[in-house]
Amino acid sequence: MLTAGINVGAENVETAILDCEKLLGHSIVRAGWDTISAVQKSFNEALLASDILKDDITSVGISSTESVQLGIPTVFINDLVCSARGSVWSVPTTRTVVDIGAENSSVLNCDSTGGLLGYARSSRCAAGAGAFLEEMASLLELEIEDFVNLSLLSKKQVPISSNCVVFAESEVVSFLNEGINKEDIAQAISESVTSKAASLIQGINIEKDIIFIGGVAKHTGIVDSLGKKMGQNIMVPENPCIVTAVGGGIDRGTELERDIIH
Amino acid sequence: MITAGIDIGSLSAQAVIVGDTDILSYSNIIAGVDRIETADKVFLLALKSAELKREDVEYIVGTGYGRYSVPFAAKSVTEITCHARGANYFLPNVRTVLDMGGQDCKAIRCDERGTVKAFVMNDKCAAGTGRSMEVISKLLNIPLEDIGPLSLKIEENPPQLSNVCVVFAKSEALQLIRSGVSRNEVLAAYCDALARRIVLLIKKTGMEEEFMISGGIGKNVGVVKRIEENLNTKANICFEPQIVGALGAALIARDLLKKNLSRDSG
Repeated sequence: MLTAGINVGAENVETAILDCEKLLGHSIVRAGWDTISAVQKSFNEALLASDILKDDITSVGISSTESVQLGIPTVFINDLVCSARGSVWSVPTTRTVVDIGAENSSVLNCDSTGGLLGYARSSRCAAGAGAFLEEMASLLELEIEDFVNLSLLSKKQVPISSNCVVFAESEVVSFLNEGINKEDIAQAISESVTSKAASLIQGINIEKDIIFIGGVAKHTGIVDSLGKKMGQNIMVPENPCIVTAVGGGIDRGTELERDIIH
Repeated sequence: MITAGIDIGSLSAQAVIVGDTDILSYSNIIAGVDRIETADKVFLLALKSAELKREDVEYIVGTGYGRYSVPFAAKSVTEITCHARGANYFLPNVRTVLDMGGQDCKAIRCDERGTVKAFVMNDKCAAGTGRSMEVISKLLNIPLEDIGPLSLKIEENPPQLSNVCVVFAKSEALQLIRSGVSRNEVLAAYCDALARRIVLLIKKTGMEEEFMISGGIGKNVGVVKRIEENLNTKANICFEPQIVGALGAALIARDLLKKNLSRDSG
């Protein structure tokens, strides 16, 4: 049975195509300003990458409540439910998930079947989210990859006192004026995101194994430093950005979804 | 008796020179990176417009975020104390002062002598401060001073912004523009969001009339009008709301000088 899962994030739309829970292909497309066409585009690209025709797909699970017309039965599944399912799909021993995307950070507990047991979420403020890293990288005139790599080279600690991204910006400007190295600044910013994640995770049970998903999972410095803070080993699945989309494609029957949707 | 107050804020700096009864002169500039230089510059401007020399000023008090960067000040006093005092000069009946600065926002309760009774402050989050206006001004390429008037030129009320965070509100504002909402309506939504944040802050300390707004946002009619509507009261705003802190500092300087003189003669 062929299914598709679509995750609509603040920055990207990801689609995964599965054949009886085996990943055939995926796509990641910028969400841009027109989410609905981004969803269409992502879905079509994923079909192409999987060499599958649209009509062969039996069902689609999507993490957005926007009415997207794909011409196939589409069901809304809460993004946390998708993340829990996708996480256990990618690492079956997962019991705790840290998911930090562009604008949302969430942590959740799940059981061995990928059922969601509990969660904590922050989506009101850019501090602690990927948007913070991106704003700061552009302030330092760095691509996000270079920003991550530079931060790993830091030798000196400089504390950032502002929680707010807008205020941190002026703090960073004065750091630059004082002649502080970009790598130390990049590290300070990364550390601030780590400590936000660490405080969010206090809100749930920390149970092994722990995995880190979402765009920020690609920042190895943040993953390692969060692991150190928690005294735990944190795993990152092969493609941390599509885990939630994969979860959307795991069909558990619609009964379960109806329970979760508020 | 001539004294001065210097207010070094995060985004702007002001100096006020007062005589026995009147304001002799004031200056208001954008704060530079070097605060000591900024302090010097703003003071010299005020001296120039009052046709005074440095040595004519007998006592100087520094205030604001950068108050420790005024090397020639005899004393530094917090901006909360200064704003309450400055507001009292313009309006002795003032009991609630809202100071909306570049990097923070304070609601101050004071008594008939301009002494602070209580205050609440937001300096943790840019939502609800002047900085959020600078962000939208830069984003939409609209001069800061035009935002207020433009935000009132709307045909219907725009959808409320759902985001508190300035970073997210920025992307939400852009999204509204792309979806065909007019620029003025986006500005209206933005001013409305800021006003709602500020009203929440004021309600924490409680509102007692008369009510006065000081600081740079006092010049933004779009925000002021929405705060007035929300609180159902009239906001008093002096001719230059940005100098209230520096004026308070100059008045405190005068009090301190009087005290010193009477002690010396006694």
